[in-house]
Amino acid sequence: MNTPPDLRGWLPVLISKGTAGPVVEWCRFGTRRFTESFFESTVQKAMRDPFHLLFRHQTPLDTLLDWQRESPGMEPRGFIFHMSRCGSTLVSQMLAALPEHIVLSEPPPLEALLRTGKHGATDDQRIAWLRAWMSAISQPRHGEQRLYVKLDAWHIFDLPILRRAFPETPWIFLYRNPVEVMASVMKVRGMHLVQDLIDTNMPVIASPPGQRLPEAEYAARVLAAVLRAALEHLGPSGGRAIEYSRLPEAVITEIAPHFGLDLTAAQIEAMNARGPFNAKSPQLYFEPDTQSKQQEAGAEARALCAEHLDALYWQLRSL
Amino acid sequence: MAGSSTRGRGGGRLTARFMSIPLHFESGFEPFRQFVIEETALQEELAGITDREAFIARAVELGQQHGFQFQPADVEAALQAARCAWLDSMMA
Repeated sequence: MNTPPDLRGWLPVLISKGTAGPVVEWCRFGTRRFTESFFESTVQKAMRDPFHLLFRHQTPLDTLLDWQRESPGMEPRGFIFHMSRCGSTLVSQMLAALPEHIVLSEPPPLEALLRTGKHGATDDQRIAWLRAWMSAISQPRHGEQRLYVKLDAWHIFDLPILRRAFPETPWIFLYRNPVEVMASVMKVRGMHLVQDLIDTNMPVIASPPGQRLPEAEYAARVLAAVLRAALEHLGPSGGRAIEYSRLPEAVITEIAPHFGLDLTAAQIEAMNARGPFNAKSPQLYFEPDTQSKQQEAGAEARALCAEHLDALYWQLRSL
Repeated sequence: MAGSSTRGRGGGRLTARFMSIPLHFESGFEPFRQFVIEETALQEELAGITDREAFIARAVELGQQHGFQFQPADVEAALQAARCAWLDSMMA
């Protein structure tokens, strides 16, 4: 065991590949909270300050383990998995409205640690690193008491190892009528919906030999794989499926109780005050866009949903 | 899906994970930088200065107080290099 450096106030905002193995990059966050819609937006904002730019520094990955022993942080009190374009950012922003909460939204270091398996790390190593990173990133700096993590959409395929690392953490899966999701992704695609763009733990989406699937069909098949994975795990692993149409009310009435949150009237008021705003563009008022998405969806989107997604959606609704 | 784009993030996500470039500055500023990384009180003071000019002036003052010799131009050059390294990190 090494004596860890004094990392009080420093957060592991980046995991990357160094010359002698993975390294952690530390940024001294002080009292800055993760209140932006995405983890990396908060990091980017911090990097506008001269101190953060100049004094970030790296350590070997195992420093995380030493620091966890020296200064244990929190375990997540809730994981938010989702289908994409289904209100997950709204949920995370409502949770982040309470100053006693740390909410990490799609943090790239978590993704990097999950992928270390592709570079030879064992499951036990990955679990140890995941737990140690979570411990370090959740060091209370404002008297925070609870940690929540919104994952990337493709992390539903990593649910088994996340459950092994954090068996006590309750989780939800957010989903939405696939016609509305397809209408959105056919305009602007998520990274995992583009063939061969990023490395994930997703099952192989078969295409005819020597050919690539049409983009929209590939996206539909990935979304179908996401829903299948959710259905596979929701029963045995104790997760809870929440449909977009029940937001934002379900954050208070279903998600908070599932995460073991006993909210006061003042906390509910604070969360609801955050809820009505567009979670990804806080300057815009949030309005459910079911009707507009239904109108936008063309014949191709509807046909792909009928072939690949609708049956899975109805299975989720029947849970 | 012709004409569609790939979604980034509010902060400009370009890859699924960052790559990182270690910082090291070839000037008298680097020993001071390493010194500050070990000194909590100096970190707290400098981290609280968000104005670039004020930051540079105070860094030079603190450096001199602790026996380090570097000029405002060294800090300015380090800031520019750090900014480039950070941007490169995100586009790697």
